[in-house]
Amino acid sequence: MTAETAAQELLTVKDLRVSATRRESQDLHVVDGASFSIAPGERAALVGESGSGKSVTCFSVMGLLAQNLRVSGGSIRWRGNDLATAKREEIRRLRGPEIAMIYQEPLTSLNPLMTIGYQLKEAARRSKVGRREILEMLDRVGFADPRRIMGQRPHELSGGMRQRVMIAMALIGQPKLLLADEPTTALDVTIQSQVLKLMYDLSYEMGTAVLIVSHDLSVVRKLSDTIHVMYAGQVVESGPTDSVLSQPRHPYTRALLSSAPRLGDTRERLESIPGIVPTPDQWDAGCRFRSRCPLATERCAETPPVDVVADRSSACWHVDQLLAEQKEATPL
Amino acid sequence: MSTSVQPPVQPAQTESPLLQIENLRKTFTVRSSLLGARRELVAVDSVNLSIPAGSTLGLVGESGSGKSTLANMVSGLLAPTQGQVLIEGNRVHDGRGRVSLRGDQGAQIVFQDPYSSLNPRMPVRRLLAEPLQVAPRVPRAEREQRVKELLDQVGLPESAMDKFPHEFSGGQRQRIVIARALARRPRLLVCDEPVSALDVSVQSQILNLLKDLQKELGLTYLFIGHGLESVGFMSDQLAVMYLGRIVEQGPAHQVLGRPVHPYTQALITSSEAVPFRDGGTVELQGEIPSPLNPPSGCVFRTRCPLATDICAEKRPELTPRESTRLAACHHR
Repeated sequence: MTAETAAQELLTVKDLRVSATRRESQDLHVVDGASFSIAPGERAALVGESGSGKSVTCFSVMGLLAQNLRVSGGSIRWRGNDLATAKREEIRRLRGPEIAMIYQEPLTSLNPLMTIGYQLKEAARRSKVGRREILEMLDRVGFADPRRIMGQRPHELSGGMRQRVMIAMALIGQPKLLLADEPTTALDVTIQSQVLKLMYDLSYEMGTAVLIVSHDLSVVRKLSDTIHVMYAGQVVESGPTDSVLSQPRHPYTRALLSSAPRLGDTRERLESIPGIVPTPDQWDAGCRFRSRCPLATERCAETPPVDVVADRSSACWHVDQLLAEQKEATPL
Repeated sequence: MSTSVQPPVQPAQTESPLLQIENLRKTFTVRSSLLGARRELVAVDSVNLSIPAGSTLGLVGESGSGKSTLANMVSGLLAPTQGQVLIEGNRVHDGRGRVSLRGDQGAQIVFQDPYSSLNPRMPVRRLLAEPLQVAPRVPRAEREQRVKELLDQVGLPESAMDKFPHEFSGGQRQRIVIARALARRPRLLVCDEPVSALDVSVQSQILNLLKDLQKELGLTYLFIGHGLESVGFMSDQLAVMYLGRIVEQGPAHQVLGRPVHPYTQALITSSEAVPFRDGGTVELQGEIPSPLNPPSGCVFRTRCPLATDICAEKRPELTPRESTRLAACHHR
């Protein structure tokens, strides 16, 4: 990326490395070389399996890493400041009015003893927002009777309603970026769709950028403009959601797509990716997908170059072969 | 009662169903508060289903639709309030709340979460040998051989025997759960969301394994899930549940290809990912009503785009459509 475009970005994560401190052995890198950026108002997705480092990447932007984790390399540039080296206090001031976050299980992120109103007011105080705006926000996230909700406690609400409360709480300060870590995984399909649409609409109306972390490609396809596929601590492919999902330029993305069953699938068997995601202590300099990749050759033991074509980028030695195979194969 | 008319010979692919569910109903008594009045919650109502030997019936529905209650009655974990479950012509329950089948006659169940369904203090050897100790017992000398055979069937190495659950990945644990379910050589496997806790690439491995085992061992599956894609992929027949009742059933490809019931239609639209920026919409507003306070008439009418007055007055019965299918709707 050139310096010129970098200036327009809201968030630019470059070569991010997050390490776990271990008592008896060397530090373990759980994110190792992740790069991506988000423009103002853009809806982006981080996709990957568990252990790929997508949630940790998200938490490091928020400055909410667990005690034994720390950013040990690379940069997280937020509107010109580097959050990787910023003081705790500086990042704390950003949380709420600039960057907000929602989590997978709203029940564990809401205080069960306090009313929704109390918790919303607590969130609003930081952004200096009053009761009237809180009621307006509750109305916008789809509550017919905001006053009543204010007096209720989390256990009185359904999962979908709790996630709406979380969204209201996150957006009350009109942040520039909303981080969402698997926000709909705990919800039913029909409710999932409602919550995603709400996030989409609010992001559109308020101009809030969204970074959604998910393992579910159908969720990502619905919501996000751009997609960053993570594997073993790195971003292996980035680009506009539609083009990445219709014509992947990394064998891992292709494998993810073909291993998921589709509606009306007539296949007798699903293609599956052999083996499991390598654990951080097995990561090396070469392509980390090579042990499971059908295209792998000896060359893959070397770090694959990042191949940038227009708005797409990917890191694979065998892109040409991959694309040739896709041309031959009939689209699914 | 165990002296049934069913001959004990192996009917490879006969017409007689392996599992038959007749007019099944389950109610629970609940109190709305500590001193509140007792009320009746109808979790499952008027369910009739049958599964031919060697095939798969998929059951889909949102949480709260009663699908897990149904699964628990089939596997003998819950006694029905009314109606009966027959496996190979034998009643699962004796009508007085007790299970009337021997350990090797009933269904076995594969649960959703392989992290909580395995005892963390037991090595795999004991986990898999335990079911063999229940009457009719497998002689001690033959147990070890059987455990090895089971591990081989689910694609785990013999060396797994002396390991503990925490030493395995999620997918491997689910293989152990499947092996344990197979230990008693059941003919019917109840799979209650067996892949929803797993990563996409691992999901396809487990789905393929279940398909292979079905062919190899002639198993019959009751496959429950909320993801239409994976349930559709696994199933020959499909039943859609809503608020304790079956609203549509028929051959899986027909139900998914040409849904009759508006709820089925909505589920399909929710999982077909049309991006919101391309006009993707939310098909279904609102949430599933509380089973404590179900709507009169058609249970789906509160969320149905086609609902009219008749839907509130009269409950639509499951009626035949296109000779192979059933659906319960006044308007379709």
